Amino acid sequence: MRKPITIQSSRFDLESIKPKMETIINAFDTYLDGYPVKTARSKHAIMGPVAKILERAQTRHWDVDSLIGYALRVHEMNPRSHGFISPEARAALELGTKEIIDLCQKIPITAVAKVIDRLDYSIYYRRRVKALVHMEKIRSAFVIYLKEQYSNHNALALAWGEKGLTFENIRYPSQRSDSYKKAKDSKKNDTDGFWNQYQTSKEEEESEE
Amino acid sequence: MINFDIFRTKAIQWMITRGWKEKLAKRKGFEQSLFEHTLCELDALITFFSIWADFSAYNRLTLDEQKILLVAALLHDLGKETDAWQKYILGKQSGYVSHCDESLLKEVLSEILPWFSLENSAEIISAVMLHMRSASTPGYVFAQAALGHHSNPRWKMLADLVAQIDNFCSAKGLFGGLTALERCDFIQNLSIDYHQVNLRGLSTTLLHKAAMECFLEKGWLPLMHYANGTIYAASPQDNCASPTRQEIHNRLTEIVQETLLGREFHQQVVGSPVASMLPKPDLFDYREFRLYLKTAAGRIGRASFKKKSEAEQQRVAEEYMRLSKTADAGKEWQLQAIRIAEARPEMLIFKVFKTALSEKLIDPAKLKIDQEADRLLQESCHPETPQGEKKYLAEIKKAQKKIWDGFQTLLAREYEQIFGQGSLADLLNTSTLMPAKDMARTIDYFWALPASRFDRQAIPDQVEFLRSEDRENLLVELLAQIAEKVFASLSEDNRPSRLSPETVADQFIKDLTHPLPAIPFQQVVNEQLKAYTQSKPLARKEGGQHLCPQCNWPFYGGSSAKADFLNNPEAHTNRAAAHSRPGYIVICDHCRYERFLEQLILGGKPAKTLVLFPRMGIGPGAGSLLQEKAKQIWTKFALYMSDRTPDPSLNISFGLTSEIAKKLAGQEAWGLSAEAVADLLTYRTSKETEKKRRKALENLLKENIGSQVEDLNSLWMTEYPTWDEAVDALIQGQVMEGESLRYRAESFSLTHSLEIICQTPHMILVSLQNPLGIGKESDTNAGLRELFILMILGLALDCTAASLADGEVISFEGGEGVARVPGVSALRNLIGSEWVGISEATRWIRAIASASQLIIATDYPDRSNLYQILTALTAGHILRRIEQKSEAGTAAIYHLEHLKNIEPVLK
Repeated sequence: MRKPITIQSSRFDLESIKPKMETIINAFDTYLDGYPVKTARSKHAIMGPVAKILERAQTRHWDVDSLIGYALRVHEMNPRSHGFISPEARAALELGTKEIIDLCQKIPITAVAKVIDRLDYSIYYRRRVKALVHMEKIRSAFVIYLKEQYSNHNALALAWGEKGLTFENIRYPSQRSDSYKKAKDSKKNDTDGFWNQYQTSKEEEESEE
Repeated sequence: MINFDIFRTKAIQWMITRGWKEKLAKRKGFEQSLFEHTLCELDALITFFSIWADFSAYNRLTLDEQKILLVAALLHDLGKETDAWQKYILGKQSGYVSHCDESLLKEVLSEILPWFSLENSAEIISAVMLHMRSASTPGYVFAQAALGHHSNPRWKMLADLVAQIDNFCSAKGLFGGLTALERCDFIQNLSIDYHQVNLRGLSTTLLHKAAMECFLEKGWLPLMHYANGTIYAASPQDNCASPTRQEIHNRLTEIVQETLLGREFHQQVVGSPVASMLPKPDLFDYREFRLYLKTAAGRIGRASFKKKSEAEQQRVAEEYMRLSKTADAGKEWQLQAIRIAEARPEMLIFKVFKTALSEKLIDPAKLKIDQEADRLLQESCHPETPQGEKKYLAEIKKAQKKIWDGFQTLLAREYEQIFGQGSLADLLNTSTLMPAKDMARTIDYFWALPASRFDRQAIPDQVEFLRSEDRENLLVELLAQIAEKVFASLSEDNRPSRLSPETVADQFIKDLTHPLPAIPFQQVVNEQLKAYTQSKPLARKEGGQHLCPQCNWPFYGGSSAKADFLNNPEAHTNRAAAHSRPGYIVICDHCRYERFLEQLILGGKPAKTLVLFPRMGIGPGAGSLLQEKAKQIWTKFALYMSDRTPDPSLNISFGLTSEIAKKLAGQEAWGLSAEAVADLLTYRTSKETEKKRRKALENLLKENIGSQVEDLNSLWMTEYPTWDEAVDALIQGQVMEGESLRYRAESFSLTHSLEIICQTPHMILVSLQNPLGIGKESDTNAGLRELFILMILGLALDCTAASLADGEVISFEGGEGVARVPGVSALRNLIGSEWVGISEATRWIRAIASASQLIIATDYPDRSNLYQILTALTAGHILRRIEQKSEAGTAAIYHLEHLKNIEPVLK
């Protein structure tokens, strides 16, 4: 009779790698702060080289240096980066890549896909939250700007020709959206005026810093 | 004198401000918030004060000592409010953390002492610091004695009293409480008794009430309520006696009678045309026969047959023409189909008549012979001998047969006198509703009668050509008269009468386990064993020894369950022998009456019953608050459901999670008042629905009152200038005319959809007529809605909340947590346990509330949307889904708020 083969299996506990996952998410988030996004519409664009790193790390065939080299090349190929990466972003990219390669080697192969999926969407979530908070800040500034221009929301609604418009339901002042293109001149002027003022104040802030 | 009510109110406010409703005090064995536990202790102390007030022999507690005790009881577990201790109790911090925090105590005392103008706090500090056994070391006691600066020499006795009351309030369950009391030093200065019941459902609330009232009548004071009973205390000098079982039974009978008073029995007696027409013979009363016939007519509409396919209508009409002796064969099938549709309500009237006068309702074997005849039989047969007994029984059977035959003969004579020769035989040949047969065997006889015979005019002179309503009324009248005559031929005790409150109480009292004459344990075991060994072959047969498949109690006799009051009575059960003959399971009378009562109160079979228990023990003061809160909610709901509601557009729903979540936004469930809970569970119907309902109301008014505003004004004695203004006034509740209010209730669907049964603090039942799930959603999704509402109720009313499915036995006693997760495996897997605890409830309420707010944005299938959101791998997954489903491809800022709430529960 053949000797029975016995194995001891235990369920992999995701909680045990949470701190490491948090480190990876923070590192890639820091890196992406310095990555010039082409468009904020697709997940692919937002995640930049990080998505490629995650995908390749999952195979467990890449080493740290080659994967960092690959990611740097993707970064440089982005026309908006002009071939530049800040030292902080590079350090964060290196840290994140090193940690993820390490993590993928340590965890059971059956858990790799799940962990990568979590990391992928957690980083994406972090990025989108930042973007949405930023957009909300701009929207609030736009509302303040409009309140200076119009005495009340009725006056605003009349000027823009939009029924039921109030200061509370003003949307983000995009200059590329369809609603901007179809809008009345007064709305376009307000949007443009706001952006001019916003850019000026931003530049002033930066020069003060 | 201390005004305990003012003190309690102040203490409650103070504890709520410090967030004690959210802080845990007990977790091992049962769960209780710091608020509840402290309130329990205050209630117990106040009860002791009132017992000892006239009892100068004991302790002679001075006013100052009472004040010290109250403050010490309020602050004894103060240290449990710290984050460190909360983490410790939740197992999030290693190492022991004591909750006797002297510095915190001194800090708080400066706030509390002015309530009673107390100056010295040394006794209070000693009482609080020594209430834990581990802290009460001889060294510490000596230190307190030497350095405590006590002004009261009885400081140690006061400290012991606080510690012992704490032990009593910390005990698990009724017996735990009794054991703890027995260990107290002051037990010799108290008389203690208790009542205990088996938890079942609605009958339990009535039994608790009966038992409690009997104890109060005897001079006992409730000390602590538990889900299954109450511990009572009294002064030994009062020599209070325990109420007897008979006294409780008598009170229970009165309570059952009060509960049944004014209920619409006829709605429950008359069943469904597709099932049994008289599913609850126990509720039948021959004096209400006319009402049953009228109710039967309303069970089916004339339009229902017209809605059937043309082929089906043709089939039925042709079958009728084949069966009928009188139908004009020359008539087209379409005409016959119209006649059949027209006759449907009358078919049901005949059905009820037939069933009510059959053996189904009057069992010939149970007919009683009159006393004189019985005496003569006994004299002639000598039943004391075996042969004589046999002869006697045979004679009784003969006498019963004679009564039954006489009854049948009279019925045939009376019926055929009106409907013609052979009509009764034809009636008896009908079965469940089969339009063709019923038309040929019952309606044809009736419709062929000359209308003039009954002083009615029709052209041609036949009943068939009377107005539908007239015809129905005539039939009801004729059949009711026949029934009156034939019932009159029976003696009063043989006429089918409604079961009495005593009979119901006889069953309900069986759940009382104390006070009870002691039954030898062996006897109980033997009874159960006997039932277990004999019941299997009889599970689907009436009579013999049974073990109730619903409540597991052994019983003898019983009767078959009907789908009318029990789901799937024919389903497989392990109680019956494998591969045995199919049939309806037999349940005990207790379970049957319980269901009858439930249906009578709610007006139908409840889809769900929510059970609210105190979290383990609850003092009399807190118990009254709980009852008061439940009653306030009920009063508001009852108004919304009645035709007197000032705003008929307000409806009640426990299942509209997103609406509830919107209203709950920014509020903590534990801080909700009764009014806020009621508001949370009401919603306003949409403008479109409101318009439709208004239109329906106008149609009803035009149809029944008149189409001009003058018609309304003359009936209402008002002077509305226009029709619209008059209708508006009716909708807004400014018109109080009964008939018009009924039309308003009908068009605005003001139905009695729930009932809150709150008799005592032990147990509150909320019976819901409609399920909580929306549309065809999955059990898991519906379970999440259910859990959401249970957690809100549990936190808002400081109780344990659970929902019971039909036939589910109560297997918990309160204190297991805030809410029980509905028994859906996917849901229990998601939550991670059977109960949601105090520390978890707020997190889950926020998560489910936020998930409900993301339903539209995520656009998951209706069947499982809530579940899909809450089982996403990360918040990023949900965000991406929102973006993909959004036209603009982006999420809104408010989505982030919801995602933040959901994130902590994602695994």
